[in-house]
Amino acid sequence: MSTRKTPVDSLAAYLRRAGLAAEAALAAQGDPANQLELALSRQKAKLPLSPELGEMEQLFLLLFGASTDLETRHHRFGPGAVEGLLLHLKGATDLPLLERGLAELQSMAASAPAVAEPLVDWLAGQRSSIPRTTIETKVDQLARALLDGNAVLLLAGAARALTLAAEGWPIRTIEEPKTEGVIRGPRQGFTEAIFTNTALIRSRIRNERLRFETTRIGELTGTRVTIAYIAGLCQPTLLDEVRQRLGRIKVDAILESCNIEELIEDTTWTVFPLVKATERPDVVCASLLEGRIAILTDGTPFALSVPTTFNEMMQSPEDYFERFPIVLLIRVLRWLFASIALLGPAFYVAFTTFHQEMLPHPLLLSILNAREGVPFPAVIEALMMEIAFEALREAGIRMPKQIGQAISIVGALVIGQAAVQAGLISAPMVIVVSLTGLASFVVPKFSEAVSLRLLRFVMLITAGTFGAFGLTLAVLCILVHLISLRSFGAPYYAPMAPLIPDDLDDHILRAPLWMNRKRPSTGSPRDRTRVKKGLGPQNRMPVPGEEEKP
Amino acid sequence: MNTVRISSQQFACLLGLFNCIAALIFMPAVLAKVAGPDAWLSVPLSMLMGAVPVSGLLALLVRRHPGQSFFQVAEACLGRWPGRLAVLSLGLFSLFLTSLVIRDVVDQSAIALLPGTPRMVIAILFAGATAYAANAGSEVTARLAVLAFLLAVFTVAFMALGLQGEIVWTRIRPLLGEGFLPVLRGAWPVTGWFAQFIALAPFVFQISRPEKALRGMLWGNLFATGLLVALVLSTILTFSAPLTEKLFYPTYSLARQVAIGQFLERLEIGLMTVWLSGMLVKAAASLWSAAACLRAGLGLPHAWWLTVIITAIAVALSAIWSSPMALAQFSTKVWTPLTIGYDLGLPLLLLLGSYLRVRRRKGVSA
Repeated sequence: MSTRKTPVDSLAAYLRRAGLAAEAALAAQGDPANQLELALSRQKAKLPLSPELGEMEQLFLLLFGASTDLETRHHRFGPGAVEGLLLHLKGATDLPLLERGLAELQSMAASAPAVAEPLVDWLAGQRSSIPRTTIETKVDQLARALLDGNAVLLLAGAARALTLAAEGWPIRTIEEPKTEGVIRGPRQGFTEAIFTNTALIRSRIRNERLRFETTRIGELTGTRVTIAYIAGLCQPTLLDEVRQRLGRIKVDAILESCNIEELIEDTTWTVFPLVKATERPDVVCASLLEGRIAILTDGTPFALSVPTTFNEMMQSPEDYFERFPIVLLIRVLRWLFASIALLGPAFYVAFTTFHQEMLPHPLLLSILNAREGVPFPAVIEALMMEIAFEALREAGIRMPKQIGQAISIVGALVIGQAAVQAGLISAPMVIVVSLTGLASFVVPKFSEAVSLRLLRFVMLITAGTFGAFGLTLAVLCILVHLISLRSFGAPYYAPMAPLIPDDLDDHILRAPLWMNRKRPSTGSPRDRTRVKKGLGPQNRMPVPGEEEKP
Repeated sequence: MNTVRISSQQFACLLGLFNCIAALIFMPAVLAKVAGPDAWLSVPLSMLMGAVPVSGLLALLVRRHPGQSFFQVAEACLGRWPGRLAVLSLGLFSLFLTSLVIRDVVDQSAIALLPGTPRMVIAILFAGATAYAANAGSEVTARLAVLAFLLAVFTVAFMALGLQGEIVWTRIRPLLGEGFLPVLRGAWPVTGWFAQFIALAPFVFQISRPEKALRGMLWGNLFATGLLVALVLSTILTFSAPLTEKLFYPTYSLARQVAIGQFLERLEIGLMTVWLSGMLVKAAASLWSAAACLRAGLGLPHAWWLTVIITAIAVALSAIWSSPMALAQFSTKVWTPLTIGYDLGLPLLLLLGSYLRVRRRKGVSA
């Protein structure tokens, strides 16, 4: 009869020592119903480290379910040849870095203590290629370190272990943001790696008052979520509110910042985005500098910024990289086209169906001529065209790029020209729908453009049924809705309603930077002054040849 | 304590709109019939007779009870049950006012925007939007009022400018040719229109700085007066007083005269949409007042269904008038004598109660 412990016995003994009798009994029976894995996963915060390497190996194999990406290796360290167990996740760890670091540690080990416990301290104190080595005493800390891409080194006879910071997750390089392009301005966009993103922010705001607070959300995903703010500028009440709203999230997974957005916004019963999402570090920095708070999520290039306003959604980063007269023109165009995106087809239908007297006679005659023979009322015609346009747009996004061009041809020829020639659709309607489609792409934020596109259908049906009367009421209802919305306590439709004259210098008009002295009050910054007085142009240079003679 | 706060500027815009928007469409005809070419002088006079006393009384009440809601003040001044009765009476007054606004919109829209559509459909649509706005709360209504007021000012200014070619200044001369009596007679029917803003009493007590309440009310009434004077003057200068009094909706006819270049003409639909926006704000404000007063008076919970029920009652009430003419007769002949006593009496009663209570308390403590 052999006296050597089997892996099952050693695990059962370890669990018994840890005070988990029920789990120990399950382990001793060989875990017939596969309950142990889940039970231990829940109890892992209570599990201490054991000096027995075999027990630890069994425990980690059980916790990770012998997952194929978990690699275990045995090493011997120091003059005492203390046995060590190295654990790491393949693909998550920077293997060359880890190998180099271990080799360096081995080469220095001649002067190391021969006993396990002092050896842990010695290893932690050595300088190698591995940037950071920390000592942990709990199983859950080690499991978390492993899941973050670090390596774990356990030594036989030591009730403490080392985590070796050697994260090496596959990450995308920094690229230009795909959804928020600019002609003039920074080209860097966020990536999926949260530490790259915090570094991109830090590189722009090199001030010790910029703070990052990281927490984990998602029971299964354990996603790292970081709050960024500028201390002394951001209101403490706002910061507490953000912490509290993030803290109450209890979900299994956070895979994208939108998951967080839906759980922290003031109300979900609206089509308008109450949290700003951006993949541009400069936009996040601008928000932070206005006293707002950014929320970065690991695994997505989209950062969130709160509080936000409808006005912010109509702004493009480039508005601040161009001189103000040009920005004024662009913003006027943007608001005009946003109105067309919402109301264009509705106006056409209302005027041609109910209020023809509003149109100048030559225009009315030409529309009536074009509509002659069209078998549908204007509202049905518009709805058909709008739905076809939306389908084409959606198909254009999902289709492989190689055949995306075919979609444009189908759209232009079949839907447009052929439908007009067949007498199903009138030519003015094609123009109206095309203009509306174009207009919706002028709105800088995609989420805002989608809201307007959705509401366009409501407007269209209202205008087709009740003309200008219905349209006016529908617009007023949207206004009431917009005015009643709040984003983290800030009125969403500010600075228009409530009317905040101080903030109007960055609405449709953007004042020159030296006049734009105050931070917007919607971000509720603690210090509102951002530009000192007297920075306006001061033409003190004498004209050459006309210098004042003494 | 009040938790919802509106600024005195927001209240001024709300009051400006509340006092002028319904009158905007047919006031020139009503005044021209009595005061002739001097009709425009009747507007400031009626404001002085109707709006200023109510403003003064409300401002005194707010000063004596800063930070309290209207309902708390009513109970504090009159005692629990009489106070509740006073609040209920204001709720019913506001409800009736809402029904009048709905009827005005139905009559006007059925002629100008949706001929052939059943009136009840128009009433339900408008009342639905009103209920939505009222349910959003007084803060939202006040903020919406600012936008609608600016839109109304812009429209009236635009119309006045667009009519420059049609205006004949001699049509208002000689000034006071018939003496001051016609001006006074013209002012009387519309005095009640200015005083009816007692329905906004719950809003007045929500003004964030009570010491600015009087200023907000006076500015609001000045805004309304300015807009109405501009409109009555434009109408008389364009059509002359005899023609104006024959038109049922003179402002609507005025909008038809506006033509800028050869592309911007027939602006009556534009005018109607602006008017409709203002009417929605007015209806929402009075509906909110009605709902809030009835809720406080009857001890009902704060629930959306209560607003819906009150809106349904307002729609039903709006159907009691047999024709637009009947409503016009009521508004010009009956409204002021019927309501002016209440408009002035309610704040006066509360103020009296407040003084007496304070005196009694002082007497007890002495």
